[in-house]
Amino acid sequence: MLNLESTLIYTVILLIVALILLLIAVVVGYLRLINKYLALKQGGDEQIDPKVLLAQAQAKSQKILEDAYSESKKIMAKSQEFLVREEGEIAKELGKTTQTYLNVYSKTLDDINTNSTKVVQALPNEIKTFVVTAIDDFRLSLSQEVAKVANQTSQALKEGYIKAQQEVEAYKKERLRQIDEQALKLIQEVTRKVLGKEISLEEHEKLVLKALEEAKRQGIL
Amino acid sequence: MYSTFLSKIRTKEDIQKLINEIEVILQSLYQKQGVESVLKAQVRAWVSQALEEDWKSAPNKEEYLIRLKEVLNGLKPLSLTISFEPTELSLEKLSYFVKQNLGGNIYLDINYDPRLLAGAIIVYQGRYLDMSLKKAYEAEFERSKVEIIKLLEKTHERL
Amino acid sequence: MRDFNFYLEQIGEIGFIEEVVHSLVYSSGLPSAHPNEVVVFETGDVGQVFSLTKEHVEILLFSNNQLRVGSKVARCGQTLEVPVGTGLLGRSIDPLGNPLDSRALKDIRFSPIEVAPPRITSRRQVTKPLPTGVTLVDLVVPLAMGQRQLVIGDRKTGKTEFLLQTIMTQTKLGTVCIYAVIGQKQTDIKKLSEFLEAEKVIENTVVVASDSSSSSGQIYLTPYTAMTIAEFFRDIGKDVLLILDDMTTHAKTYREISLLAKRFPGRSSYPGDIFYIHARLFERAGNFKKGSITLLPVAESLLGDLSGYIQTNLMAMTDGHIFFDIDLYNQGKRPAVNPFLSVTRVGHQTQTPLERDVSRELLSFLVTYERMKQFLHFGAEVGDFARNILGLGSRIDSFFNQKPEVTIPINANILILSGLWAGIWNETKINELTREIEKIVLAYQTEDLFRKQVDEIISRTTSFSDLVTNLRRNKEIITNKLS
Repeated sequence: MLNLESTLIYTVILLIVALILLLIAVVVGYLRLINKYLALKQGGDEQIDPKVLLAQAQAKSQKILEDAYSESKKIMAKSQEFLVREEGEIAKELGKTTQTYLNVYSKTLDDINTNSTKVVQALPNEIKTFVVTAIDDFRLSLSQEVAKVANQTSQALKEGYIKAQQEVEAYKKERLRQIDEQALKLIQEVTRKVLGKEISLEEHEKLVLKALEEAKRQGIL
Repeated sequence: MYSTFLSKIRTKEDIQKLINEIEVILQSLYQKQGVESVLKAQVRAWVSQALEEDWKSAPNKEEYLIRLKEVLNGLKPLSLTISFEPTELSLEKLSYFVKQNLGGNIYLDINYDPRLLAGAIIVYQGRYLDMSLKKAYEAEFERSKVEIIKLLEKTHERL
Repeated sequence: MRDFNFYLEQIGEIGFIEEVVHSLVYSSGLPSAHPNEVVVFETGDVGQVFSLTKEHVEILLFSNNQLRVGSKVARCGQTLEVPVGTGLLGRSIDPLGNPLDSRALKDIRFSPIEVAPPRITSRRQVTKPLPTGVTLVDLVVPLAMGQRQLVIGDRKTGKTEFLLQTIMTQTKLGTVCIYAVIGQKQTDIKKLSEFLEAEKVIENTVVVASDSSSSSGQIYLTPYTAMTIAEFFRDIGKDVLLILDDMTTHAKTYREISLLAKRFPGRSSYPGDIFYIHARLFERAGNFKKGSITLLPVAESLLGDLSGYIQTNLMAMTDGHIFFDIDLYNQGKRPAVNPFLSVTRVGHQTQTPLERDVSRELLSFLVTYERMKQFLHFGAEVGDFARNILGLGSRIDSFFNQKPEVTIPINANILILSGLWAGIWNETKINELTREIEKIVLAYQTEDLFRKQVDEIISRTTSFSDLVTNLRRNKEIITNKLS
């Protein structure tokens, strides 16, 4: 019973100590937290001036811009100088070359002029001779053609005439033949009709009776 | 018995006429008007006369008439194609000749064809004989054609 | 044939038409008309006196024109005559002798149609063979010059193709071929003449044609006209091949005429003299002193029925028949000849001993082959012996299959068959086999030396087994041509 009581007392003492430590730790922690919070608050107070920052930034940027502008101006001035100088040189060179080309061109133009005048002057003569010979040839061939055509037409006319004559002959023959045929037919018809009318009734009777007798003779009846 | 009729029959038309008259008489045998009126009014004189004669010896009129019709239908035709319209006299002559030579059972079947010019074409029991002038004429014409052509050619030369 | 008026004048008899019944005309008159006399009408139509009664003359018309009752008829005093002569070769004519192509006929004279058949003393034994160029027929059912062989089968079984093959073979050997087309379509007639012209055999052929729109009288006359022309060529010493396509149509046309003429109908409404109509025609063919007429009439059977009236009649009048089986045709065999049902009564006596031996062996083999094929159907096991027979049988079947434009000489056939028997092609496939056979045939037809060699071998050998043994030993005869 004594052990039990002693252990009990010891455990209770331990527990109390532990609890005290825990409390201390909590308090410490809480103090720290307070400190942090106060620090942040100060920082926040400093942030309460954004306009100041903005103005600062603005001034900085303006300075940068101004620097840049002056630099560029300097560069542009330099380039302008360069440009003007170069322009002058180029113009000079261009003038020189054009002048030389111009000279050459005018020279050749003069040459051509003289040549062409020479050729043009010679042309009429050549043309004249060429045209004259051509005309002569043409005249000759024309006369030949005319003679040929005249021949041909006279031949064709002759043949045509002969053919026409033959056709006329043939037509005449044919027509005459047709007329002959018609004449024959007419003769046949006329003689037939005449015969028919000429024979009197008695003669008809006689002929029929003769026919009957002939039939009897032949044994048909 | 039917000799009167047969002797009077000459042509096909005669037969047809007679048969028509017999038909009328046959019908009248059983009609109200009686045979007598028909015989007087609708039949030719010689026919009624001949009938009355024959009916004296043949009392059954109907049988007599039917037999007469049969006899008439049994007559044989002699077909004559001639080129003129025959008169009564010509018909008599022709019919007489035929009856003389072939007996009384023949009648003439006369056709008219002017193209024959003259003569006749005879057809009897399938036998055929052309005794018309047409044939002779055409034969002659063929012969004289040659001369006619010669004549015509002479006129050509003159043209 | 003069005109109506000429005969009227000359004979002096006239008739008048009393009644017209389709192609029969009854006329009165004409007292001395006799049967089969020619009569001419007013319109120019021609007819023949069919019979005589007490009152009328019964006339069979030969034209399609409608005649009027009362028209005139004159008789000509003679029986019907048709033109015959060498001027007919290469021409097509109608049964009255008028050319179908409107060009005039030259070198002809007129010969009467109705002739009594020659008596026994003017006939000769049949001795020369008639090669057709068709393997199956030449080997199994051979024909001879002067034989009458009926070609019978259903419609569309290849009968006409076979006949054209025969014509092609025979014209090359100098035979005159006469083809009578009896009542068929005009397009078929045109196709026939175009085929003959294309194959260049028209110069040795005469075509006598009546189409189905002709009058019954003309259709009835066609085979008689053809026979009269054949007799002319026989009398000048030629061998003639006469084909009548087809006799069943002719029988039907004669039945139509007889029934119109109020003849009493017999079996199947055919008249009682239908046998006489055909027999008196067929008896005019045969082998004679001067020449020969080989007759190939064609008959159509219905569904393979060989026991029909007309078919049995025709079989009784002929020296055998070649039967075209519709079943074989449907199985793809061309020509569709049934070797078991086909008969040749005088063909074998014209064959050489070797050919006869070949024929016998081949036929008995075919019977055995058929039996083997039956065993196959029962699912029996196939031993070596049966397998050999089936193999050889199928090769022979493919050898018999022949295209319609191909003709093969008989010695080439014997050679190839002996080669098949000797086993030269035992290892060859069927389509290869066909090609190789074609090569051999071509070699035989074009190479003179090879042909002489083969002909010599065949003429020396007298039995089939000798020939087969010879080929077994000297296979190079054939194999040389295959490379």
